[in-house]
Amino acid sequence: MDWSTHNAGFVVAAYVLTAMCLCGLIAAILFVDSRNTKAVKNLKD
Amino acid sequence: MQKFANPTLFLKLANALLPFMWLGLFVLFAFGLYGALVTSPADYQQGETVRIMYLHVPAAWVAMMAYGFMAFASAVALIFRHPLADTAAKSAAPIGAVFCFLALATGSIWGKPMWGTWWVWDARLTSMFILMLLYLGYIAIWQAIEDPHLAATIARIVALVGSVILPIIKFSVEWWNTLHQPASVFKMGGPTIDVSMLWVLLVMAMACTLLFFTLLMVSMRSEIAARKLRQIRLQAIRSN
Repeated sequence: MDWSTHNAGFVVAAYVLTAMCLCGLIAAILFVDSRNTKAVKNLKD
Repeated sequence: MQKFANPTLFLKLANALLPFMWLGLFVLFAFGLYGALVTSPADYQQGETVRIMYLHVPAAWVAMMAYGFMAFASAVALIFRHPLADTAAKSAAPIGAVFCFLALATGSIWGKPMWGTWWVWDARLTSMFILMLLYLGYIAIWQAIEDPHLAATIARIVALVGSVILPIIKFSVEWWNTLHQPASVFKMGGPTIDVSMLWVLLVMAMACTLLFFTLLMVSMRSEIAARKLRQIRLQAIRSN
């Protein structure tokens, strides 16, 4: 990839936005999953 | 399929498969991103901006596939009363909505340098925007209605009726005069993209699809746990 071109900024923006959204989605789903499974375990115990 | 209607069996299967799915995701994204940012050539017309396509196109495919999956799961819930079908559709919605948002956002970022504008109300973009609204509406139904049975019934109808948008999105570039380019991968006569770009696109598409199903499994596991939690709490209230 040629970083010196004018359009490189748009490419970086697209990749950063995608990474942020997907990492946020993964983190949110894993957080809710761990909270729910722990709560069920605690209530059963 | 009825065999997997058992949530306990599903949880066993999910727990066994998930480590391999995370590993597969890591490998596919590593290969895909290396291809997208390093090995694939710049386009003769679009230049470096073509690299946005490796995110935009898989995101749009997964957004459409996720809605198709929701409609299918809703049909299964309506016809067979499969106990996990509603859970699957409900869990798929936020994941599909994020992919739909990414397709719109990355398309917009690509549009500015290529078309000279962030947005145009052409048939493909507008139909994709309607898909985003359908996702938000579907999620809102589950959030707004307290009775889960009523929410499930309305959500099933919205998912099934809304699936009409999928062929409209697919064929919008053929039925109307659009600024958006026509299909270049899934078309009669084969793909028109060069192999050096096509393999990267397909690897990224596989990575995004696997990400969808991995997150779907985790989300369904979480939803089953939330259901159990509600049941345990209700039993505790009744016994008091």
